[in-house]
Amino acid sequence: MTKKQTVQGRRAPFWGVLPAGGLVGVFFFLPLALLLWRSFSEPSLGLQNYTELLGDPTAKTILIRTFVVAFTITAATVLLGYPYAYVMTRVGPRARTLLMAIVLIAFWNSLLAKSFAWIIILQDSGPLNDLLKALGLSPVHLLGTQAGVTLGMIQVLLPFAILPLYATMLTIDRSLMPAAQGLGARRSVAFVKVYLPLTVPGIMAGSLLVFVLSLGFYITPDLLGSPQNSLLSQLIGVHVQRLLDFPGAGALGASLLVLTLVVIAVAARLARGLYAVRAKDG
Amino acid sequence: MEPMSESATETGLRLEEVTKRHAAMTTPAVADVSLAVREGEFLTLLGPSGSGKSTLLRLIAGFTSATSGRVILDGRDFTTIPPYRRNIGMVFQNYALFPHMSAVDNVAFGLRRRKVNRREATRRALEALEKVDLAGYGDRRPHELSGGQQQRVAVARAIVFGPRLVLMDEPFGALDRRLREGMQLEMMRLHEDLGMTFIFVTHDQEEALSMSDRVAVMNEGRIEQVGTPLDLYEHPASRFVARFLGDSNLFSGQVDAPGRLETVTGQHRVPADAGRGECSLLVRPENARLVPPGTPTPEGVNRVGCTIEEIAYLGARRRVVVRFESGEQGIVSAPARGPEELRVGDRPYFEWKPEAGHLIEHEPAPLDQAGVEVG
Amino acid sequence: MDEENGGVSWGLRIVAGVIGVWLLAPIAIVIPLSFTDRSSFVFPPRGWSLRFYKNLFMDEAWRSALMTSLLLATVVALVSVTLGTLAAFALHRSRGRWTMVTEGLLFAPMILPTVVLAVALFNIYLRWHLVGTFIGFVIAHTVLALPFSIITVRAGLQSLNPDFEHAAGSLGARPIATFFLVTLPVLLPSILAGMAFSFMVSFDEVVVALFIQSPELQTMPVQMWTSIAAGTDPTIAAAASTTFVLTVLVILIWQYKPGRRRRGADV
Repeated sequence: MTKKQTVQGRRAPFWGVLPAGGLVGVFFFLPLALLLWRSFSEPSLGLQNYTELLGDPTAKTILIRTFVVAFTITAATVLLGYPYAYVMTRVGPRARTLLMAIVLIAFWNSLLAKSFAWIIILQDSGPLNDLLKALGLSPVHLLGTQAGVTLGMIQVLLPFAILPLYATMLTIDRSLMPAAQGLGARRSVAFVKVYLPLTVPGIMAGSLLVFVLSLGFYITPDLLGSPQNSLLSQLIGVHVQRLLDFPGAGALGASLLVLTLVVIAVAARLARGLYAVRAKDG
Repeated sequence: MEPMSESATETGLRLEEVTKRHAAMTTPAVADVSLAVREGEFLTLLGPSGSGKSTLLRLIAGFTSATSGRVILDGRDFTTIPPYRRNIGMVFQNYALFPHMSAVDNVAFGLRRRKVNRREATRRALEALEKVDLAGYGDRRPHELSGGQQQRVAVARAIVFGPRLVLMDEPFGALDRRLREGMQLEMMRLHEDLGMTFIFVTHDQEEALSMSDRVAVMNEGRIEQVGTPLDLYEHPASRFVARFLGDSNLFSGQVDAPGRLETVTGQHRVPADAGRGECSLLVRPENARLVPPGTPTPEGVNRVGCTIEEIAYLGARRRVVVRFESGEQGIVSAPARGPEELRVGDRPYFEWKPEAGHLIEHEPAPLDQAGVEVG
Repeated sequence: MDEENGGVSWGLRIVAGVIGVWLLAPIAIVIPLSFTDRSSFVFPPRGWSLRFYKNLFMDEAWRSALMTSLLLATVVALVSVTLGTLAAFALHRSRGRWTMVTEGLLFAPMILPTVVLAVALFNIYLRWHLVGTFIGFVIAHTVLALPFSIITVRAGLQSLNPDFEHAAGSLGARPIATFFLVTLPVLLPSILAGMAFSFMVSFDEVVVALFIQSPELQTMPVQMWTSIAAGTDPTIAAAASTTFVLTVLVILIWQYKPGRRRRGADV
């Protein structure tokens, strides 16, 4: 039942939104607008901050690096998260609760704590290298490298991929795979032709989420990386904290925001396209 | 309709040309409904989904307001009075028991709103629970009770404070058949016991016919007919009512001369003053019989040739579906064991006595299959 | 390969297990490390002691940071859930294009990279003298936590049976009584969930805190950050472990709270 009529107030006043909306308006949109304005108006009115940005080779490198890292992380989390989510849908209730609890704990745990833990793990004398030595492999130097940052971020962002995937997989009729196999398809074929397409919404949602979050990540890259391999968000931080360059930071921030929105828009368009195709196939 | 006045001595519920129109829709959910409910009666609003019966009930309860018309209870105009001042008890289809309260607290809720102190309220609530056969279940939460038990708590909650009216919106819809029948009997017993006015909503005509003092059949927001179950079954005022209650055979035609109905299936005798103009003749399946071809026609009996299409053996009787030469279907309720064997493909006569038929005067409708309601 | 019966091949189970372990790896590292007895990050620790827990609760800097964060998170939880509940009710009961637009606007903080907001807030806080103020923190964190409150309360409202209010009304309860006696108690789980999420968002928030902090007002995450940058102080591990235990507690309470419904047997 979706009757919106209630005993009290038929046309229930919308005012309830005002306190929250007011707060968000004044302390979110306004600051952003002001920052944006500064990027366009200092030191004088114009686009110099932006042209400076475009001309700066460091900024370009960082931008490309940020995208590459985001792509890598997205691919990795989806690849790892897929089997985990799949297993979650297929096991018994107790195992599922356990797996879910692990994801939730990993998800809600302090980001700083996780990043700090990775510092420990990745340090030259840390447990990762201990493990590698025990396996007879040569130790790696990961702390302060892009690889280390990527690795850490994968672990941190993995739950964000698992949850949407799981949610989508839950909606898939469990009798579809046996039905496909009953019609003569081998398991791998049934998987690719029947199951995988149905999970695409979850894959898209998870990928988008992880990608967007990766673009804006600050803490983990800053702790696990080094100045030589900063990401975009760190650059923004540097502009403000070291250079007190708000206009520049504003320009960077605006660019980052625009990029994020573009990615979301592209994904939305893709999703709609996919749905349309599926609908046509009946 | 005589002018209605608000008198101090009037009792019962009266609806005056009540209309409910949702803003966007052009057809009203409830259209010009006028109804008088007698004190202490068990009245059922019966109709298919979308007929407006639930909306009408909610109008009586006050959960939604009428676009026009009046709701008058005990002589007072209640149209604009909010639910919490109407002193009515309502039983919802999904029970709507407060999940965070125990059964006894749920039942006592109405009493507590009326400033009854906690001890007294609890006592009376426990009494009410006993009345619905749930003694000892007071401390359970709704989610610890079965569907049938929750339903009974909902009933107890609705009656404990002695409301003027008890309204029930398809309360047994979610129960399985046996449970439903049991609850129906309990409800009738409760009604006898308490003497309160019950207004019951359902789409199940068997339920309506078995439980009610009177039934109001609704269709597309209007009341088609109000009457006792017997009245409605034997003398429906419209094709809709005839088809909605039980199986029916309907012959449409013209009464061009008194006592004679001209139809596609031939001329039939009807009682002389039964009606005129465009009419439908209703013959209930139990009032018709099938006689083998070649049997001589008795005096004054109506007859139509037909072919047997289907025979369903129902234990006590047989339900025989036939097709007339004109193309429509008919239904006969034949004894389980008859003097002659009936077989699919046979071509007997469909026969009935004129007095057993009922003529419905109304605007013509396309010939329909007997027993299957439309819309 | 008995897929039909819901069985999963052992290979997959192992993969899931490994991933699960990997998800928890950080925790598995940090907690033992917190019990180390010397100021080093060598893992596994050579000796055991509680001194860094003691440090966490005794050392002035750590203690005040912890208290600040606890207080701040509590206030944020309360404010966020109050504003969020009001908004959720309004959104739930309204129709039309405005609803979607407003929703989108209220959820915007979730898609924006936090550092951009941090910088923007820092900019404006400098002008309005809010840097390093408690109220400044409350506001910033509430903006970040609001979407969570709104989502949880909204979900609760959507699964709320509208007939509850009607039933209460028919039984004689005035609208205000209905709200406090029926609507609110039934919504309590959602509201508590919103509070829990808001608390955690605030308690763990680093980026904005880094920018709007001052020497007088340091939250725990900021303290942890500074400590990591500064050197090898395992108190961080103690702090992280404490946070972890808190998180687990909240999740466990949420998963097994008494409000969990179970269907009684249909008799």
